[in-house]
Amino acid sequence: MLKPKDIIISGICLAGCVILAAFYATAYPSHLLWQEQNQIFLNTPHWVATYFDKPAWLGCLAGDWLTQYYHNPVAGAVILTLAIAFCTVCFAIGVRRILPGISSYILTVLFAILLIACSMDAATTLPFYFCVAGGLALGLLQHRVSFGKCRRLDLTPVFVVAAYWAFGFGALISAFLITAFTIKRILRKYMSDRHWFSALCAVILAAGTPAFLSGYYALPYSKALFYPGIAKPALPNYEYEERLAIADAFHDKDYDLTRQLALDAESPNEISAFYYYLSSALQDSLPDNLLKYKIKSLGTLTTIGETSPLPVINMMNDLYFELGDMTYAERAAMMRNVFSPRNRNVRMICRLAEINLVSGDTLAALKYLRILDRTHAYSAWSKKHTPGQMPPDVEADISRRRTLSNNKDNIRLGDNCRNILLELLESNHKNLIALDYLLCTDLLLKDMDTFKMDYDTYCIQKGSPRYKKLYQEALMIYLAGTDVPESEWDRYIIPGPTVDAFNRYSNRRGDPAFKDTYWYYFDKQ
Amino acid sequence: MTKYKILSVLITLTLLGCGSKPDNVERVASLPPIFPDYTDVTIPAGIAPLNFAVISDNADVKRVDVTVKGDNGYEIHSNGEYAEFDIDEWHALTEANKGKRLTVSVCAKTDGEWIKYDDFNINVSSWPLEQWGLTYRRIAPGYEVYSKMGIYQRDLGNFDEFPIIENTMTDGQCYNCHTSNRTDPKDLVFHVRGEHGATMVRKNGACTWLKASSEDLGGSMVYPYWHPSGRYCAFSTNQTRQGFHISKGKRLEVFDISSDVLVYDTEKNEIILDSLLNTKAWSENTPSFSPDGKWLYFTTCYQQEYPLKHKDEKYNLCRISFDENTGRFGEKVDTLFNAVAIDKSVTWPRPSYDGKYILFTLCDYGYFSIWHKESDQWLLDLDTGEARPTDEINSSDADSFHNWSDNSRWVVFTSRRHDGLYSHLYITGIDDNGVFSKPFLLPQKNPKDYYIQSLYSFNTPDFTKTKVDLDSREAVGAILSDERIPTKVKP
Repeated sequence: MLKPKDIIISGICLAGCVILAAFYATAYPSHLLWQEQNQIFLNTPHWVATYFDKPAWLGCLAGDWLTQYYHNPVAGAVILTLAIAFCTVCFAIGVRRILPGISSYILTVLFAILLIACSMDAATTLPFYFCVAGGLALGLLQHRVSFGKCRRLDLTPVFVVAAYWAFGFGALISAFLITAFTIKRILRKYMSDRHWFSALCAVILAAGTPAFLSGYYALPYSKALFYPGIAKPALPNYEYEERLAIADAFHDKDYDLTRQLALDAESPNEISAFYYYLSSALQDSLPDNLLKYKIKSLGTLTTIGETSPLPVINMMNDLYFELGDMTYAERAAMMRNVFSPRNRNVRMICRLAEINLVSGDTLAALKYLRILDRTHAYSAWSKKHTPGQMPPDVEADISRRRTLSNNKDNIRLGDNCRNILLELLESNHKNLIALDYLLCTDLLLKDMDTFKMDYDTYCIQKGSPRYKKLYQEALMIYLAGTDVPESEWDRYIIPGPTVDAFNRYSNRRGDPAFKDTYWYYFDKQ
Repeated sequence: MTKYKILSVLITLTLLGCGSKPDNVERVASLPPIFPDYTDVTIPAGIAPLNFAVISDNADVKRVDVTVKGDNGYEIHSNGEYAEFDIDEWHALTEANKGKRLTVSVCAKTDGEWIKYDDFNINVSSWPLEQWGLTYRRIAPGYEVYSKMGIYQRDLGNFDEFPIIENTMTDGQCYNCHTSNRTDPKDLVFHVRGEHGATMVRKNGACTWLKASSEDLGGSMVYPYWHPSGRYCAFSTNQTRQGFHISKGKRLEVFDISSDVLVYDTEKNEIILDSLLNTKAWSENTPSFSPDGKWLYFTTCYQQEYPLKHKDEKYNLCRISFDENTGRFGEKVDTLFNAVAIDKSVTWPRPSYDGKYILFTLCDYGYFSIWHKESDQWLLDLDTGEARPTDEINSSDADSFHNWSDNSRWVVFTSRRHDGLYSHLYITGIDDNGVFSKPFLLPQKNPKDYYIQSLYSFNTPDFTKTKVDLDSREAVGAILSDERIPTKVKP
């Protein structure tokens, strides 16, 4: 029969869990999805066996296995909440045996807050919580065994070594608990010499086992000691959540939502701008929206390398994939994989399969599809993308991308996006996404000569003038700065309200009433 | 008590299910669709079991039942999700059938029906392997970046793999191009790139960490090859760059803006340079010594302008004499194989240790053949001077780096034939007429899962006579200490 106090505490804990899960599901879902996307879990014995190559196999295995369910934000929120709750319960049991009454409650609450704060950092993964929980659980179990029915048997070394093997740094937590229990008993003066030895043994083994096994696990001591890694507490990072949410909406091909999220972003930045523009380009409205976003970042001037932030590598992967440059899309995807745990990022594995399907390398595509087929969440996706089994929409998408692909045969030494865009347009001048990115980059750089040259090459000379308001405004600036005859104006400019507006602007240069025009941008920004 | 009875029944049923034997077998007149393809391969006795899976595109293979019988008797059996043989039984079978055939009978259960395929053979060579295992680098291709990678060794008698050195121990260094002296790891060399760069030279078990690059050398000590005496080690000094191919079917191009060949004298800590191997207009590359130590083989090409003329970079195979007593080179360079004349390029010349052949890789241009789908193995007969493509081991994808076993009867090489993207290791035997047997993919305990799930490339493989006993902790300490011995150029 539960006491009223216990019922109240249980009720508070339950309410706390519900609130926490609701928070993760509603305010932090993209952080959870980031975790899921940044790994892959294959449902095969061989894959499971690879976890034994490093310490903390059980913590990492359980954590990674459950992380794959983060694909569903509610499931992810519940899993993370339960993991934190389990750690807290283990801690509470331990601390109640060491400290009296209220102090144990205060410490437990602080511990829970610490764990929750750790979850706010995008780098904190579920295995961290399982290693904490495992370390605490084995510490408690050691206490039960040492002071329970099997007290004649000192199994401390077994517990600590097992804690390291199964939970990595969890062994340090076990040793800490064992030591704390021992100190408590010393203070109560019913301590035998053997328990002194147990505590000492626990500390030595927790620190010594990683040193002894670091060669076997091929890890330096500092990494071996804290494997798989200690999380850092952080405050909720809503700005990062916002960025991730925009990228996720884009990944879901919901371009209206992507643009809306980017427009609503409280902290607009390079990434929100990038996805705003890329979504616009895919909806054939990049020139219409170029001046509508506060930050002007198309990604065409961004390069990636070993120090690039991960979202930027993702971003460039998306840009090149949508432009049709499979070479650099693959390069970014490979790079992103390399920076993921165990060299696997499930979003990039899917992307690599798509890239190879577009570039016609079926053997390589099948390699990635077979890997995805062994996952819980992507097996259906894999089947849908397997050659011969594709539904019409997938097949049409692959075919469309093939028409946009770069078909040049040369070697590229750097990621100069202008060259890439030119190659794409040489391959297919009807690649409007590449064309708009090229022209809009010229315009953002206010390089009117290059803009005119590119417009001439890929619009006028190809017989496909692109009558977008932005380009008309830019052409007017160029033509007004030259002594070209009227016939040239007729060649480029369609008479109408834009011409009238240009005439008015010419008399009121810099007037904010024209701030949505390229003329104003050219003069004032 | 009841629940224990139910549990017993369940366990019994499970065990019976696990031991499902073929019945009502339908025969099909075709070879079993197995992965890896081990049909008609030739293996050395004592190699790890050739476990395989039956793969059907049309049906789900739930179970296989495989029997392997030797011509000289002895029979082993496997029944499971894939063919997995007991290591000791397999060894006994192959030892008892040296120079004979193994006949493999495969039944597979698909859609609840058992199918019996035609039997196939595995030939057990009369030539022993006489090697403990393989060494190789395993890396996740990231093009310009890399994460986990390392140099590993694999016991060829079973499936055990051990890291020799992994970059998880040293915060992301890149290790490459390890080479032992005629498969004996007492003499070992490898190069460490990056912040703590060095060239490790181990002579009779003692390690020396050389400064990785030097102005005098015009580059780093990159692709090594030991002189059989163990006193000298030849290196090329490649100043490597890479670019991305845009065209379909090609991914990366690795090329040098310059390269020379030099020889390092381990006794005097001296670099031996020679004007014939250090030309400005030409790039000398991929050196190797003849087994008698009297010749240095290398490849050379007229240095091209990159990236514009990358397709004009074509290497010939040449040699120059070398006197191990004086450490001096001869005064003329012979062309052994004129690849330029057939509009091709030679790379990775590796003489067999019996002095009969040079195995090299031929591609359309350049030398970094693993990124060239068209690259194939060629065998040069040193008695006749004739070279031929070894079609019996080549594939439609990249077949690249290779090395010989100590007895010159086995070759390990890299190939991308499995998925076109990641290089894997294949082993082949050579007969008295210089003809290779059908190569077999390096056996794994569960090969289907292993190779399908792997996102790593195996490269620079070599046989190793014994297990490499490099103290990785000591090596890591030396790498991180940055204490390097500078080399001096021989006057």
